[in-house]
Amino acid sequence: MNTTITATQNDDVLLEVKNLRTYFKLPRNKLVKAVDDISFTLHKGKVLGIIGESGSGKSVTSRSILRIVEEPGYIAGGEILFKGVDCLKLSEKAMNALRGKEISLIFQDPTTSFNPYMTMGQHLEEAYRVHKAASKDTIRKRSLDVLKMVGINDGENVLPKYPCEFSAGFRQRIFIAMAMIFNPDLLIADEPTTSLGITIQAEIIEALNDVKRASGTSIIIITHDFGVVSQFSDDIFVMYAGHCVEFSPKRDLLLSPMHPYTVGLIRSVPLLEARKTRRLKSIPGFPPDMTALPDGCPFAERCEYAKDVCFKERPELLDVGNGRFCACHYPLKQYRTSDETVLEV
Amino acid sequence: MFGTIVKRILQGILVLVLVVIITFVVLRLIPGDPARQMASDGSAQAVEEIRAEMGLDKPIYVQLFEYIPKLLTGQLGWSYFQKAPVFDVIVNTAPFTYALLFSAMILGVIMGLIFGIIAAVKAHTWVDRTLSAIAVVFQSMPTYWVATMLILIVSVQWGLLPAVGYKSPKYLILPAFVVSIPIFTAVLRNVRQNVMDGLSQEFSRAARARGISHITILFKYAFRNSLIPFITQIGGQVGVSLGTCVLIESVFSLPGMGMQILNAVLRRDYNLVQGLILILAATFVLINAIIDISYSYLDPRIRKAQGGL
Amino acid sequence: MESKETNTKTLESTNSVARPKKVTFRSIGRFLWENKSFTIGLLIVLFMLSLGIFADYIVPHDAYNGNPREKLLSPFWMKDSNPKYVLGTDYIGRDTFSRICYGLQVSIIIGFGSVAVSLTIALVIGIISGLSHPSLLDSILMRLTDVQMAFPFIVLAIIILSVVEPTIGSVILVLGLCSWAVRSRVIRSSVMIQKESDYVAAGIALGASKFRIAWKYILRNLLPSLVAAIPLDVANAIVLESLLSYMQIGLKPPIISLGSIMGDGRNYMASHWWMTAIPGFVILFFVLGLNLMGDTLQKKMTDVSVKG
Ligand SMILES: Nc1ncnc2c1ncn2[C@@H]1O[C@H](COP(=O)(O)OP(=O)(O)OP(=O)(O)O)[C@@H](O)[C@H]1O
Ligand code: SF4
Ligand SMILES: [Mg+2]
Repeated sequence: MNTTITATQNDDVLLEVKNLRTYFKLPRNKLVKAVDDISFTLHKGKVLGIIGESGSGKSVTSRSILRIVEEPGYIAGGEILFKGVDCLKLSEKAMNALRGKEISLIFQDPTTSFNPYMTMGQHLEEAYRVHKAASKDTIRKRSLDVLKMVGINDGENVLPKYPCEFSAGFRQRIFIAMAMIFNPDLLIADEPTTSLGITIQAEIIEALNDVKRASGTSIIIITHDFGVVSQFSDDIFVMYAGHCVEFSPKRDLLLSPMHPYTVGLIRSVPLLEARKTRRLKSIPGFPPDMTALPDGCPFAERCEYAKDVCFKERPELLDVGNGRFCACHYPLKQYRTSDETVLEV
Repeated sequence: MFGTIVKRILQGILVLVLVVIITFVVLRLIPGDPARQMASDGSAQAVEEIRAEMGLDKPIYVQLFEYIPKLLTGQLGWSYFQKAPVFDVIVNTAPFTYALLFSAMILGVIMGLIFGIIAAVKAHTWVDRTLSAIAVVFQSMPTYWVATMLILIVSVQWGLLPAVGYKSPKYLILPAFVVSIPIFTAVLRNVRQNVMDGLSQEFSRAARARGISHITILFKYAFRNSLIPFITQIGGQVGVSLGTCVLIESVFSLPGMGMQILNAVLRRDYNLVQGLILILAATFVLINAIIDISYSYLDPRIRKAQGGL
Repeated sequence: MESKETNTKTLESTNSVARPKKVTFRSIGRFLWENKSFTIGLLIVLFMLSLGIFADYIVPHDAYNGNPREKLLSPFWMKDSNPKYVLGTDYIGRDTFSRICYGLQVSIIIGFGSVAVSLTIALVIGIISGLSHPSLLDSILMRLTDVQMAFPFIVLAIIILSVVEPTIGSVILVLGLCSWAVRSRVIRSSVMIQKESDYVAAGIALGASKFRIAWKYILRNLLPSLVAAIPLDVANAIVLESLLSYMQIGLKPPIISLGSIMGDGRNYMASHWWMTAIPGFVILFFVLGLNLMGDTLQKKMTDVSVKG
């Protein structure tokens, strides 16, 4: 596609993803285009929210940025410019030097993302062994500092303990601390709250906020809950079936969504049901079969605005002005969400 | 923690007591009278004398009540065919069996570990497929048949290693190799599967995202987390391998407990059978108890749940 | 709308516990194509099964009585072979191929028979102890399985077979009695897991009796994993049976066992190695086929249980 979301002031750009494509080879010659031609830009110190239903390719996007997509997946093309350097062209060694040092990734389920046989202290200090040598004291001091950053003040007690001794929410905070140990320029949080209870979710978001305030790190927050992205992201990127369907500054997107899918997502938020199950259920139908995407708009089956052309031609991501991009044959120019909806979020 | 250990030990003792009782009763139900086999002239009177001497004329439960207290004081009785205390027979034969078991376990476990890890790292490549194919073929070979064929090829045809009997540790090489084959295949498959699972766990992925090297993830994450199923399996293997040892000893005519036990059953040498079965079962029970107890040291989750030691 | 969807979802997942997929020729064909090691195993097993089952129609010679003038003949690929006897003859001139066919027949009967025995014992003990889990009964049954595992199989078999006459029936019983423990443990732990699951809890809430639960839910859900275990257990039993016959503790002539064919060859090993080698290879291939099938089935089972 020719339209890409390009940066306005280039020196300000931290990460620029251009036409990224990540595919999975399945048996019987099937190909899953989990991420198909997506582009977005993240500015220094900003927060980008990526939102989409389960299976839309959010996690694959985040893993592609770190180049840790596993077999049978592979990055089929595109560019990932981090501080102006294309990560896809870096050697594995140079890439590894970025992982955990300049780009950190926070995982969805804190109960499985720690090695059960290592103490929290060992987890925190392990990164030093890989990225830069430091004295035991320095490491300890830094560990306690990052723990404080996420609101854990009794770090001395935390370090010698094993992951199993903490609650899920507490573990996630430690994981965030661990991700911050080298003050990375980019923090990717892949559904950091999805597996947690509602009150804990708020705590984690708060911890991320604290981290951002304290360090100025840019953050990509991945979620399928508008409640999470709307709180502190600057831009929002809506994914559907491996495609970018809408990219826009947060306020504009929430007040006047243009893509029918975004509208569906926003509509589903205030419903108690969606909150309780943390799944977006109000859009009728199911996401398409990723092994056999239709030729036309991938959302057409479920779209109330769909016309003939939607089933035949795939809409391209077009610049619609004011830093907004939308991939729809009939973008909604007039749609306004009621103010309460946004406020309630 | 302490409670768990005590409980485990008591369980083990209970199992051994059951083994003793079952062996005791079954042996005496077997038709065939040791007294008759032993009585030199075969006269009814000689048989009766021997029976009385051995206590075989009393009801089984009476014999049992006489046997158990003796056992508790460490007396295993007298082997009538070996003309020696059962204890001495065991002391003389056990080293061969344990040497065989031990060397086979080490050989099998080390080979299994190495190739299991290689297969896991190279999962779904031709290396992995070849190793899995070798494992399944090895697993399908009857051990006694392999033993026979190896004697034929390695000892008779090539003259490389001695075939039967025991004069030097060289005589253990072939039998140990044969006993190690099932251990090797079982460990290989177990390690491969568990390391593969470990590598695909979220914590391994998270470690990769932190820039931690493949080799560290392989050993400190994936393998470390497959240790418990691996050790559990070794416990099970001890039992199977003890059985294989008994058998392979008789193929190679090694003077171990296996040879003794087969002969002892056929000759109705009750005390010896009883003593040997007890030792074999105790070996199995002891090793498994140690393994069960070691879990709590290996796994912080269990350790913490039990309040530490 | 939402709640409806949620409901159908939960219903579906409850039903799917024991709902087999629709089996068509196409789906079978695809399964065979995608699991080639299973297919190879299946072909080997079918070949061996047909040799054994149709032995009466296949055998070219009398398997029980030989022609002493044609004894100790070599198999077809060697110089002094006789085209009449593909795999040669034994020390009293009986046709090895014919004997192997009957040996296979015995292996098959004993293999499947003893697995039926051990699975039945394992099922009864596993389900009872699993259902009664924290109880004295459970502890007793578990100690019993410990006892079985602590006894070296071979010793147990010799002891029992010296009490009872080794016939096909008694060998089946011995093998069955000697190999139920591991399986009953597996059954017990899966019963314990299922006992905690929603659908059994629902059954209890609806007032179903324990027996009914065991029958209706637990057994039905155990069935696939039991079926998957059969090939591996049969393979094991076949090897053990041949071992007993080889050591002359098992079946006695005139019953032919692969193990005793091998045992007959032992005395002629130095000069006529093939007499021991050939029956061994037959066992190896049969067992290999069963293992290849069993491995695939077990892998499918764990895949399913991981997903569900
Ligand atoms: N290991 C894999 N093998 C095959 N396909 C995969 C694999 N991982 C991901 N996919 C495909 O990529 C698609 C996107 O997956 P991804 O995990 O990125 O979704 P997601 O948006 O993160 O969903 P969720 O909200 O559930 O985390 C999936 O629909 C799946 O088809
Ligand atoms: S392109 Fe058509 S089907 Fe797709 S979202 Fe727009 S209106 Fe709906
Ligand atoms: Mg995801």
